[in-house]
Amino acid sequence: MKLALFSISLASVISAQDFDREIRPLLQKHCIECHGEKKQKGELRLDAKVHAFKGGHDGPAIVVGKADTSPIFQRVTSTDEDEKMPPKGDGLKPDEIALLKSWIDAGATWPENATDKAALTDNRLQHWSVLPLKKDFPADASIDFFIEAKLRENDLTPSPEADARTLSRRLHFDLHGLPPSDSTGQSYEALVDFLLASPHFGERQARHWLDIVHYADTHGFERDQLRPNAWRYRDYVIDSFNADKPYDQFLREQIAGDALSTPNLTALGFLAAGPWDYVGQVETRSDMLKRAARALDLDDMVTQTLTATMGITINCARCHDHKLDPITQEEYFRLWAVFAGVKRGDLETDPAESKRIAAEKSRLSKALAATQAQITKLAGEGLALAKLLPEASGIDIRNGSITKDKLGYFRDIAPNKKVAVPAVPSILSVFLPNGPAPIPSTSGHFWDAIANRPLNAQRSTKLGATDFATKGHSLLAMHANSGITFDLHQLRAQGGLNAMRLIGLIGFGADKAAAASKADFTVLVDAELKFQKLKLRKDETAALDIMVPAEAKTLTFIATDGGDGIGNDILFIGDAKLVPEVAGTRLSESDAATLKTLRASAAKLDAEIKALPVPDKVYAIVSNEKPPVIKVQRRGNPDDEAQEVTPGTFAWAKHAPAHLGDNQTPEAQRRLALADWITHPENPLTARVVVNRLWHHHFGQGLVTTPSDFGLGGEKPSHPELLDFLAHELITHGWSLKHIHKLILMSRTYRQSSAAHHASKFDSGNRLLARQNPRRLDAETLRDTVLAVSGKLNLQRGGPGYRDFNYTEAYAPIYEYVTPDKPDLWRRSIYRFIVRTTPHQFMSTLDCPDPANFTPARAQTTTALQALTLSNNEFMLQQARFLAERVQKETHDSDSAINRAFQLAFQRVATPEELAAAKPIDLFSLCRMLLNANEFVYVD
Amino acid sequence: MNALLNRRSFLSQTVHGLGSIAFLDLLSRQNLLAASGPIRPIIDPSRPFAARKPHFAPKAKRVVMVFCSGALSHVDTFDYKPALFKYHDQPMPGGSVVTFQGEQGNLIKPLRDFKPRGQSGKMTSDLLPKLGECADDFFFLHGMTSKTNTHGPGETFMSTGQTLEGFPSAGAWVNYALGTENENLPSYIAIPDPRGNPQAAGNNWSAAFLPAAYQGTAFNAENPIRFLARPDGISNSTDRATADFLKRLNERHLEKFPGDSELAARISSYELAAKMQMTVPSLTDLSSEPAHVLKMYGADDPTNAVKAGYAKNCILARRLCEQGVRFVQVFNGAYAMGEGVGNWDGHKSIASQYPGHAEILDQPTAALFMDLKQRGLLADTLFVFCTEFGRMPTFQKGASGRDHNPSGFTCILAGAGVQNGAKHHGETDEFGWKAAVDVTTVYDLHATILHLLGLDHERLTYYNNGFERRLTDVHGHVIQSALA
Repeated sequence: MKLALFSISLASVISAQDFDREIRPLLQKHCIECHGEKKQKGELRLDAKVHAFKGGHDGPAIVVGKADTSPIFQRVTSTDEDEKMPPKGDGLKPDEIALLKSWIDAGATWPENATDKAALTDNRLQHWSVLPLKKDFPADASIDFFIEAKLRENDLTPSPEADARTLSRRLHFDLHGLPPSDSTGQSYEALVDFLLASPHFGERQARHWLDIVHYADTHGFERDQLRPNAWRYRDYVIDSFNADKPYDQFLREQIAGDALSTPNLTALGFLAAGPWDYVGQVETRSDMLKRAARALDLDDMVTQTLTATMGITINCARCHDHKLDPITQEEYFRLWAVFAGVKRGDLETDPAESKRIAAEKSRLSKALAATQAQITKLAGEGLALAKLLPEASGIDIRNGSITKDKLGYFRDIAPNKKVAVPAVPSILSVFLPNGPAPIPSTSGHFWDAIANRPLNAQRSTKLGATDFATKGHSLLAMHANSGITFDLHQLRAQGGLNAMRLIGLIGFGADKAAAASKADFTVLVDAELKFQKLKLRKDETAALDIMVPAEAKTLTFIATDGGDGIGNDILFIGDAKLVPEVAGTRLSESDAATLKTLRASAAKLDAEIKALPVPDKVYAIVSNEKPPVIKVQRRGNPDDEAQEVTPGTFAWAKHAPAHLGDNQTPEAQRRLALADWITHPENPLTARVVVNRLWHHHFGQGLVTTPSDFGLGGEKPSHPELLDFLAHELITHGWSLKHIHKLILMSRTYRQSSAAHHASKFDSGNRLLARQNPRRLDAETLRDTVLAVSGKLNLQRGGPGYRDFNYTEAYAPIYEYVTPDKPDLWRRSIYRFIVRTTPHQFMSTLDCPDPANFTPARAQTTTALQALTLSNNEFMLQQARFLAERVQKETHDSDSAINRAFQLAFQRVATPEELAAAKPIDLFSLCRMLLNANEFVYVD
Repeated sequence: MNALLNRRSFLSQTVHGLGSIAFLDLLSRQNLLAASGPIRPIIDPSRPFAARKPHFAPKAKRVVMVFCSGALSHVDTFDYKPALFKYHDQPMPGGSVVTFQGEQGNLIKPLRDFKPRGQSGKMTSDLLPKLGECADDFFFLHGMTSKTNTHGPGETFMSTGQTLEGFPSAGAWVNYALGTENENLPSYIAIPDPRGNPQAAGNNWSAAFLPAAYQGTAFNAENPIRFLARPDGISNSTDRATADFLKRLNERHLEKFPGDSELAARISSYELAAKMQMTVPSLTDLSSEPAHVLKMYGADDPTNAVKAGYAKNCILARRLCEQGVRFVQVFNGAYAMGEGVGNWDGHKSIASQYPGHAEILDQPTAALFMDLKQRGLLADTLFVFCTEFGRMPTFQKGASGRDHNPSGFTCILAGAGVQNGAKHHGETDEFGWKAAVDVTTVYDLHATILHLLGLDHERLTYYNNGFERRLTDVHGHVIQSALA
């Protein structure tokens, strides 16, 4: 509503000179608090001319010459509580409103003062991290040169070199994440070289990288399903660090490994390392939720790629232009266009080999089908058991009725209670099985029906190459737990059969990629066990070929849940048939012999098909050659789209054009262009970011203390020239990370003692590095160290991760952790199968980060729960016991036992005072105590 | 390294003679203390749980949150819709609707009749009669909405203000902001249902990117804090001798690093652990509760073990409030048994599923509330009753249950600083499908909880990966009409 009373024109009163006297103070008084330098509500600033006329989120605020249509005027005169500006207080006085109106109506003249002029140049473009790398350094430049110069400037002196024991511990934990074994007396440099060359180096360094890319072995979200092939990417990272793969190549492979002249597909696991929402992407029926889930997916890929490589918090520009860095929302969405054709999924790592296997499988399957056709010709068609039921129907096992419906989940069915099926005379009964042996006991739960059509939620009707839902085939589907008994007397009468064979193929109808699941299948003829396959895996099949004698009365099929719950236990039998047993009956002797040969060759072909290797896969990406066109999403809302964008990146870093193709550019080429842009030798950020990460891991904090934020919101480098010196060293040494590691490790700065220093009170953050930082072992290192000290660490390298949990298949799978009590579970923590949604209690208590998050620097907390866990957790107690046993075995008297325990835990013997104090304590208690000591969990 | 718990940054604020860089640190920190800027609590790393001042005078000192997992039907409990009785078994006007599990059938009246309760005459369902009797002390949020119709993200949203994993729960934010009044106990405790964890499990009490010290400690009356007990086979005297030796060894090590608060904090964490070993077992041992209290909660019910277990959890929640624990979450409903079996997810046969769940929830929760009131704890305790979203006023086609409904549901506030008299904020439409008046978000609920604790939800922040993060993201308004 407008205030008619004050709509008189004061245009003549307002001149350019009046602006500074009347209007600027008015804006200052009422608007700047929320629309100024500190806050930009609605993305609007009114503190400088350039901002005021640019407007905010809703467009221009001032329409020159037209106060009535200027949002600024509408808002200050509004009576709507939600619209009125300013939102608090009495608002503008009538004369102020009149002034504002006449100023706008008169042309909104805004003479520029110093503030207005300053606002025209964007200081953000001069931010240190996007300026070109310095390349000229004094001839004697080195790490110590820069660090010691700055110490001198501040009248500080470096600390002396730490003692040999401390240095050895420091090097071992930094480079391997393991404690030193008994000293070998080699020189410091020889030890550095030895540790850098060891395969344990990659195991330790990979952990840091996997934190940054939030790697895990399950999808996350509500249905946190397994990613059984993710580990190949984890091994790729380990191997790359061990091989000192040039860092630029390492990045190029991970972003565009499929587009390189020497492809590396395993590396693409990088793009899929983060969480993925199965419900939102696949299961939901709402298109809106699907768009939202896809938006999160693309945001995750873009954010991970840019924060990991260049330390730019690109995700801040999803809903609006970046608040701190000069990155527009459109630039953010141009990066979406780079990844628009990428979805997460399993990828075969060697396509040629996969092709060969597929061709071989096809050849063998064809031969098998031909052989089976010949067998059928000789032996007769037989009687398909699934055909006993009316077409596309099932038996409700609760009451034996025939139903065409797809049913759901049942429990509370009386076990082993035989329910008659009156509608089908040849089916004697159905039931819910539960023991007794040899029938496995079950959970008593059940899903849908016993049916001759796919079950509710059945994903596949194929086994091998055959789809049993197609014409000429039949399927009998039996979810665990269910049983069905056929009346053989009736069947003989129907089929004119005498002695028979039961044939068929058993397998799973669940989505094989979804999760691991096991089920059992049992066949009884009368009461006799004729076939049993326990813990059939989802990717397995089992062939039936069972003699059914002429005098047998019943045939029973029993599906049970394999002890891991009924979820996904959708079993079915393809072409379950009773065929005449021909031996010595109506076939001629030669036909019988032929049949025997044919059956043997069918069995051989079947075995050959099963023996074919499964192609190696990695959880990575599935590329869509022609990606959909991306549009900017207003406020980051997938249902509110604006202009189209083309593949590109942000123009803030000026080393190479930000344009990365157009919407015709093939998918992988877009990623390759981005990888080229990121690894461009003139890119000021990539090298700075990675050398800072290495520094962070060797000193506990980076030269820049925000390792994944090099933007205006991040911290400034404590030693900018040193950062550039290291970046320059990296690039000029073929992007060799080991070169940078060695430069750092050989420096005096690194080798300093960490003991308290006179500088501590001046430089409490120790950013000047007048001493090393004592550092606590992270969760993985602590666990590995406990195992190493107890003598139980299993150093087996690579391959699928160890699973220290019980897994129960369910709609949302259930993970229950167990105490690792066998060598398979005593591997290094880098090989832990990481479950995203159910954190590992022991590890997360010790600050192991949640893999939902990118973690460039780990938080460190100190809690009573940690103390309780390290003192009393079963794993810790068990390992303390092993340590005591080990010490006992290796020594002969109590003094040497105590010293040996100290030696293993701290790499030093006990002091006389400690020796005396330890004597009254039993060896196990001593070991338990040592594993809790600060000296054990800190590297000085 | 995390800046908040960085001993060196901490010291920089206590020492006057600052080096140049430390001084810069301090300046940047002061910038955050401007009148409208973010307020990050200043935390002493050696005492991360020490009580800290709120932004302004609080009404509530602590929170008890009862969380009904699986999506409790509002139309069958607290949101009275006469039209559902009137149009029972008739199609919803406006044609068929497709929701999470598919197409919807007819409107279906609530499972039980509604009756007026107390002085206010508030109409609530006979399904939860005892909670109905508390209505005079409740403030109802009838116009609640969620951003998702899926349980895991829905629970996560209600607990953390984000549908994605990886964000801190409300309890962790409060713990981070305020610390605790009782440093002998964890300051944030989550009490899972006796049947197991809710669907989003630890997301509901996660610290995510906040320092891990602020995560909820999960235990209930039947499964106490892990590793609290002295291990079998270790005598008390040996355990103590070991602890003494450890302390001596750690103090010797500290001599090399005088004033290092991280090392000192680690020493004191062992002392707190020892104190907890003394205090917590008596806290979870309910045998000292008089028979009439056990009876009031239903903790002595021999016929319903789940109800008795949940009732014990409710008694535990009251005891934790008495001990000054800052944030207690009590879960009703668990995921592991499957859809609707162990929680409120009544898709298939709500008439057979809900009465059993109601039996477990009603008496113990009402007793918890009345007990807090009788003992005077409600004067400075905020009571929150919530669920992840509501259910449809219709039955699903081909089933006898209600599908998910994020468009409208009910939560309850009561206690310190909250209006009583069964007043409400927000309303759903005629059938209880969509919030129609004063549409309320989870952000609003969170903003209000923080407000009652003396915290400005726009200023309580934590810097993470480029964002000054808040519990309420960039949303949320304090629900003024809920304030007493």
